[in-house]
Amino acid sequence: MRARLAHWRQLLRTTAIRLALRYAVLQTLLLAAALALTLGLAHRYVAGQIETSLDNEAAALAALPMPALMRRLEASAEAGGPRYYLLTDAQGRYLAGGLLAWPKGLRVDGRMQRVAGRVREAGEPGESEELPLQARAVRHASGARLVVAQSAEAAEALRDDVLAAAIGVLALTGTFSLLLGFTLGRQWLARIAAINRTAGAIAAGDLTQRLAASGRGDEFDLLASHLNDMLARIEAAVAGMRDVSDNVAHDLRRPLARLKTRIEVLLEAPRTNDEYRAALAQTLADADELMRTFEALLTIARLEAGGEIVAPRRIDLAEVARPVADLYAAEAEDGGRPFTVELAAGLEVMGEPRLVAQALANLLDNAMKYAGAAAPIAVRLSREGRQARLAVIDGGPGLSDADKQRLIQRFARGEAARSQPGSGLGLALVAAVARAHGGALQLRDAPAGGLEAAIVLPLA
Amino acid sequence: MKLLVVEDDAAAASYLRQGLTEAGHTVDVAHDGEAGLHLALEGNYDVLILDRMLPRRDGLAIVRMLRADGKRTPVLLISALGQVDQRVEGLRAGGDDYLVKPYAFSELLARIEALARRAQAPADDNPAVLRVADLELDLERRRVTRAGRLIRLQPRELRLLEYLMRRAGRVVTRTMLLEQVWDLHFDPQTNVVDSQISRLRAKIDRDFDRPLLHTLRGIGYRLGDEA
Repeated sequence: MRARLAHWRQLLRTTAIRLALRYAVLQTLLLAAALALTLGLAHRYVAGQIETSLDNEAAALAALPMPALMRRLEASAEAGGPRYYLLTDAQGRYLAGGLLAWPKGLRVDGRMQRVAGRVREAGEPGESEELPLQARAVRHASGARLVVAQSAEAAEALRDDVLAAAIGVLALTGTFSLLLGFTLGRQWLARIAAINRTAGAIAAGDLTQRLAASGRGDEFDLLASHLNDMLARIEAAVAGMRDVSDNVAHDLRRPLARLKTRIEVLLEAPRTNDEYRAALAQTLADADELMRTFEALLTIARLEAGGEIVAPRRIDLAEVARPVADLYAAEAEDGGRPFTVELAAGLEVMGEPRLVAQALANLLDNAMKYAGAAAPIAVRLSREGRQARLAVIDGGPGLSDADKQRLIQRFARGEAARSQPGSGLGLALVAAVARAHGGALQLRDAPAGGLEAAIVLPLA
Repeated sequence: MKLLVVEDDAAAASYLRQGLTEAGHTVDVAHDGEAGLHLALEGNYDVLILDRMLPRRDGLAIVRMLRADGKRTPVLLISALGQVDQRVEGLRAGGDDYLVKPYAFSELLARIEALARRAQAPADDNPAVLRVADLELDLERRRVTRAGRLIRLQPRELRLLEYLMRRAGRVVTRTMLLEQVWDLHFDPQTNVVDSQISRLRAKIDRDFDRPLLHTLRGIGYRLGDEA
């Protein structure tokens, strides 16, 4: 019972219900006013017609000489209603007519009045009940007085019927508006309650929940679709952060454990200064490596969460790629490997130049490390339809199709960083940079047999 | 040099003081922004080393107030915030250089010296010819000679040499070179900078008795007469 009450109270608080109630009341009031106006006007019109008619007849009768008037009144009394007449002498004594007594309150030579009076009906013995009459009294030249009256029964019955009908219509419209309002309100309330339930589940931590759409494409569906987009974005960001903590644990725990063990062993027994120096130098190198891993993980996480490219700029890829290629050229050529650079001019994308440069550097690092000491390396920037392709092509052993597939799938699933530091992490960063720019990392066989790793980015 | 370190992490501040003192500098330390600003306004320091996030007044606010007060003391901002826009924000606020934690101490030292020199010698910042011993770089004609002999350099090698010559006698780190010569703000894994340096060294040093371009293991490079 209490729950039901609470439900109704809540229903009454709903905007839809409040609007429906207000609308129903307003509509009923307006309709009532309109009906009252119509009825009033009709009443006045009918009364005017009757008054004119009574005036005319009274004037005509008053102009008749007394004997003719008497005869006329007797004849009409025999015929009966709805017109009734009364002729009295100057003292008010009955002379002729179907109206049997002077109606109470009727003034002579006034305007038409509504009065009550008893009449003699044709073919009926005795007097009638008191009838409602519209009556007009005039003076005859002889000093007699004449009343011309018409029964108001029919007109008043009609007025009562119309009034009853109007009240019925009002009651019906009011009830209907209320019902409609409540039904609509309950429907709204049901859909909003569904949204609220989902929102509650989300607030409780279940980010996988989505709002159901009715499929009608109405404003609720639009709202649900916008909220769902937002939720997807938040879920991705949260998943990104969760991934990062997993990856940090995975990629940092082992080197940290190694570092810790080295220090513990070092402290076990007395060492020479040289031993300390060597161990410290090694520890410093390890710390640097840890830092690099950490930086890469952080950058990947930020990219995955969509937070790194704050203000994308229009960048010419050749201008970004050239210094990186220059930087690697010296080392490549020192090692005796052919190093070629072909950069198509005028290919512009929207993005962050430093990230694109870092991605290219990572691809070059990988090629240098895994393609073999003397394998040729080429950097090639070319146009491919509406995309730019920045590729590092090596003449090394390449990757098996299964390995290529595995790497790409792993990045696509966002398990990006969970791989060996140094190799996979670098490639994961490249994939994250490409994705953050609306592009992708592609791995395929180079024509000469090595690996072609490319960032494909949509042109600005 | 007289340095002011504003750093709220007491352990980090103490290591910094020790390291910088051992490198021959006089070091004052403040542990919050308010004290740091006070010292920076009062004392006559060669370089200020400010942590970006400080209690009571952050590093950026200190820089802004110093600059508003007309103080031109070089400021090196240190921060755990390393994203591109945060770096830009730091430099816009009036910082002269920006170093992201964790950093190598040698990197910090090199940057402090670079900042101090820049502040000391603004007069002759744009000479027509740079000279280090018998090595000359004619900036207008982009020509390099050593002992009168013409040396041919690629454009990027020329920029590298110009950067080293402008900082002759001082340590220049790998990171500084990557940022200034190649505009790269990350650390490539392979020894690409070493290779660039050896290639430049082959051109300017190989045929001559006295080497000018020195590698300082684990720290960086220095162009100069004495080893």
